[in-house]
Formats: sequence, C-alpha cells, structure tokens
Amino acid sequence: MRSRSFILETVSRLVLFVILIFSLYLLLRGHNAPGGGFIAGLMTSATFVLQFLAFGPTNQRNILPINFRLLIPVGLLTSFTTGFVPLLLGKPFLTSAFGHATLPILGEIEWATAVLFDLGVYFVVVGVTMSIISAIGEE
Amino acid sequence: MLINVVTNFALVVITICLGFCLYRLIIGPSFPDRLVASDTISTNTVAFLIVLSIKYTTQVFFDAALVIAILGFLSTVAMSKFLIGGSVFDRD
Repeated sequence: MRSRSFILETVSRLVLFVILIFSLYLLLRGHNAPGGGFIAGLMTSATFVLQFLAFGPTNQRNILPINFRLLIPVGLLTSFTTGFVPLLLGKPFLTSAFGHATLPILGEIEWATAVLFDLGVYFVVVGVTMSIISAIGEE
Repeated sequence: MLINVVTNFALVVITICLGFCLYRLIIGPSFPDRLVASDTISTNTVAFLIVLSIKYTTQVFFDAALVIAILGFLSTVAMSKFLIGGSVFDRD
C-alpha cells in the first residue's frame, strides 16, 4: 500500500538541503568545537531516512544509487590512513598537523588533518546507519 | 537582574510542562496521546536549551537544540506513518 502525502513530500524536499548544510557545518567545525564526524553522519542519515519516509525506499534507490555498505570500508580506510601517515614520518600514531592558510573568499582559516579523520568517521556512520535502516525497512 | 529572574521562571514553567508531558507519555490510554506527548517533549526540550543558553549567554546549546528539533520531527513523522498504515516504509 502506497500512501502519498503531499505535505510531507514538499516539506522533505525543502528541509533536505537545510539539514545537509547543517551536517556539513558540524563536520567541518568538529575538530575544535562541538560537532564532529559522528553527529554529522547521523544528521546526513536523518535526511536520507526522511526521503525514505516521504518517497518510499524503491524510488529513493533510483534517485540516489549509492551502495551504502561500500561506504563502511572506505571510511575505515580513510581514518586508518590518516592515523598511519604520522607513523611513517616518525611521530606517534594519530598525530594531527595543523596550520593557517589564506583562501580567496573565506580569508584566513585554520586547517587541520583531524578533518580527514572526521571524514572517515562520517562515512562509516552514514554507511552503518543506512545499512541498518535499509535492512529493517526491507523486512 | 531582571533577565535572571525571567529565565529562571521560564525554566521552571518548561520543567513543569515536561513533567505533564511525561505523565501523558506514561499513562496515556491510546497511541495518539503518546505520540503528541513525545512531540511536545522534543519541542519543550528545544525551548529549554534556548532559554538555558540565554541565561548563560553562550551559543553552545544552539546546535544541540537544532539536532533535537530535527530528530523530534523525524521521529514524529515515522510514528505517524506507523499509526496510519501499520508500516513505516511503504512497499510498492
């Protein structure tokens, strides 16, 4: 049985980009403020779950043909590589490098390699959450 | 300080509202009662965090309030779909 709700579809289309931008914001500030890869991944999966609820899993899989199970090894590999590279340079495991850079529009920002580690955590959380929810939804 | 008195009063009122909602969530005879109670609890939690961040003049709680608002909306939608159709995800 397929019950379409016009209000839910419109709201989920509008809210999608707001939550995605919020999750990106949480991901990028995660290394020196509240936030980080875990909660950003949860927010991104919240948008996908909202699309699942509004449009149904089959339509959603046609729109967004990503195999979410593939994101788990990709994220683990990213995090492990970020932790392993300082070991090759003779520093302790998971040492984070940081510095300042000047970008054209944003001005001077502080960059840190901890963002790459957060990116790996983000991929793992999105993959695990979407795998679990797809498995429950297809029961 | 007037702002301190006002925020303390607001926190007390929101806490009493949360207590009533918790009563309805536990006792509530039917499923829609519990659904509305849990939605109101998430809204009241957002209001509580905003008033708390006004009281302490910090912005730390705003992100937590936004996360709770998004998750509360999502869980309300999911439970409403379960209430209407009997299943959360549509099969077609």
